Amino acid sequence: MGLAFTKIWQRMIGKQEMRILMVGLDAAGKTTILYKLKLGEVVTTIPTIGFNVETVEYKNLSFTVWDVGGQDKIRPLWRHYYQGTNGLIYVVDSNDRDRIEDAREELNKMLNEDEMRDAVVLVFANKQDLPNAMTAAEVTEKLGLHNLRHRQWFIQSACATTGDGLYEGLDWLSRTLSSKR
Amino acid sequence: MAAAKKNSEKNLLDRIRAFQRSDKTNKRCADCTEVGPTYVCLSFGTFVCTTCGGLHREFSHKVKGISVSKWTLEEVEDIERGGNAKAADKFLACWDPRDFPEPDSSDQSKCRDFIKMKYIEKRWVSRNGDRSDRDRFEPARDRDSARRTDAGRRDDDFPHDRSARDREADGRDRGDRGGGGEHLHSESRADRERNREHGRRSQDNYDSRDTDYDPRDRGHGSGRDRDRDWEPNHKDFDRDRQRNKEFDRHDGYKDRDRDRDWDRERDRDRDAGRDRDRDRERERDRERDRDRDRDRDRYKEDGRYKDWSDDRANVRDDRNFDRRDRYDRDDRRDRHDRHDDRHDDRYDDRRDRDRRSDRSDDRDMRDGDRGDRRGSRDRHDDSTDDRRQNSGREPPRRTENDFFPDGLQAPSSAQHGGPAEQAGADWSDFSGAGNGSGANGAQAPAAAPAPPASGLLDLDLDFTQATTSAPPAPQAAAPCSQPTPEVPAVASTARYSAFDDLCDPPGPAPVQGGHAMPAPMPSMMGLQPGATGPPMQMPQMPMLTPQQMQQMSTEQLMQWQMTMQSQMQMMMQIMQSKQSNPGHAAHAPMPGPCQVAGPPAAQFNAASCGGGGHANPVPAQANASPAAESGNPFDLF
Repeated sequence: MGLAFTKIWQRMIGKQEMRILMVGLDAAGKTTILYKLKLGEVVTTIPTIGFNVETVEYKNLSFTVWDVGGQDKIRPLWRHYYQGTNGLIYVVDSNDRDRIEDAREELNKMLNEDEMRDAVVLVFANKQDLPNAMTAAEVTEKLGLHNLRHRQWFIQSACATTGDGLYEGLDWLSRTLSSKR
Repeated sequence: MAAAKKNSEKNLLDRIRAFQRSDKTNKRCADCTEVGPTYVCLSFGTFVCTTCGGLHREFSHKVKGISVSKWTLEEVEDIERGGNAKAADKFLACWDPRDFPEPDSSDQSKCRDFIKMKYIEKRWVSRNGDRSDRDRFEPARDRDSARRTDAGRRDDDFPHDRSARDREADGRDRGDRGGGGEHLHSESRADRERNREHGRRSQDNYDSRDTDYDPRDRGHGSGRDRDRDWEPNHKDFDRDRQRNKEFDRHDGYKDRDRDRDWDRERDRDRDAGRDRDRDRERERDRERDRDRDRDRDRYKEDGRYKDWSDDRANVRDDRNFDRRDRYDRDDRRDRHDRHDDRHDDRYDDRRDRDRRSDRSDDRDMRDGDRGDRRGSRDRHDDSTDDRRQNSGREPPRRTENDFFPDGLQAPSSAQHGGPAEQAGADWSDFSGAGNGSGANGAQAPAAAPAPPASGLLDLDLDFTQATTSAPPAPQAAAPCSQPTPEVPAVASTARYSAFDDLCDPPGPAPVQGGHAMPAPMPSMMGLQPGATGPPMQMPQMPMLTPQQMQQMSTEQLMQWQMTMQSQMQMMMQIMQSKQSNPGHAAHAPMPGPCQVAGPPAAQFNAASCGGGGHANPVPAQANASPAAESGNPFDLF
């Protein structure tokens, strides 16, 4: 009895696998976010050279999150991770006003890539715990998100160390990706 | 042009490397014992290892990898004006390896403590230098705090009397550098630095020197694993561990170097010129306090470290107290020495008591501090780590208000409970999902008091509450008063959650005594009467508990199943037709930019207003908000 329902249930919204690419400038908090989602705790991170990858089960989805190092000279490596990406998580250090322009350039460069044309974009305005942090609206404006065309995007304020906002962002991702399928 | 740029990039890197090679202190991490640092902490112009680089990032210091970053000319010049030696001159001026030995990079928590003491608390910044020395550093401190808000702008921290080139030429011998304003003091610091180098080079040497000291006098932290590092033989080790144990039992977590400081100063006071020394110390302490007060205020204005500075205020008060007390004691001891050789019991008692209270306060500070700041990756490190772990998992006090400035309710921390709990059917996560629909919040920010998009938990809660508390009859009656519409726009959270309950009930569902067996459609269980309302309300859902199913006959069950299946199929068909029919604007998938960020606060707080949604039995679609996607059942997931 329950089995029959489960089957239908699974058929309708089974565990779908989603490939998520998480990028952003260095020290934006990508690795911290990844492990906060994965382990639920704050780990001590070191600057990422290369990448970290973890699967995060959330709702009906299984996210495979690729967290790629963001330092200047290894940013060209990002493009090797584009293929087959369903969603992009772009992490921004809301406290770093000096480099928000860099962040915008990198984002635009990435979204112009052909392989990324179908990817939905979730922006985490991270480090909201710092008092000088830009609000999500400010980050939106400075990243020029409003100018994006033919792109589903969403910006979410977050604080990786406390976990605030992370699941809200994943919510949007899961909803958006589910309805896209 | 491109070639020139390339060239210049390479040049800059070469300059950094040349500078690193030019001074042997730059070949070691500035904050631990690691050799071959590959990162630069631009906030202080130091070369640091990977671990310390990561830790500096925790403190929002600017860190760049030497080989993986692009450099600008300004940055390179800043680095060339800095370097580990300069930073050590400033931040380790009063430092003694016995205070807090330079940590090993494998012990991250100790590294973190060291960095915090060194740069944040500025515990070892010189305060007793001559006038010129102070002049030299104070402006730098001003700029230092100003820079904290403006990370990219780094004025030269250490106004140098010589250019980087000169230093590169003859900077090998650090003792040479004490020209101009930095005489004497710089010499002694250079000596200390050399000693430090020496001690680092030969660990044995360093150790044997240190074993002269009582282990209780060494640094911070639970002394045990550190003791293991330096203790030369097991007998001593055991003995000292035993002593440590007793000491720990007696005093708990403590600040050892302060005690050691105290002892040392007392010894020194016994020397001939102790009165003069004491005056000078008093003067120095006063100045240091003043500076720290100022720093603290600045931090507070800046706001970033306000949690620490509050704690630091406590610490300093304790220190003041301790110090004042110490002077009293000194005076008394002097009298004692001079006039009499009676033993003063009261004095000893008092000292012990003070010491104890000081430590316990200190421990409080430390725990709160760490709890606020970080957890740590390895759990089974030692007892202090465990403690930090525990406190780290508590919901952070400080962020709640900072984080949701508009007075909107913060999401319950259960929503962020993490994947571990999620695996165990963490229903609150589901609710966070529905509630945290940023889109809804963004598009109808004014509707915040209106019922926000409710998630599954709401219904589940209703379910359990209804079954446990409310009498069954009215419950069954209430939903029945709503005719179940045949229009299968009924695809709803309610229905899904009903199924979910069937498959995997959240808890032991109470038996429904005296409940009529269901005819297929009329709902057994449903929304509370409050659910009826505006146009898009949800119909009731048929719902069975496993117990009820147990009671049903096979025929009934099959009938039930068929009904549900047909409902399902119908639902799927409808959904497909909706998705393939773009004319149905409300249900069409959104093309183009759909998730608008909305008004500033609403965007972030959209996630937070879900907190209020729990108690509200009205499902999402009853919401008057123009949530364009709410017609799409998938959006609810």
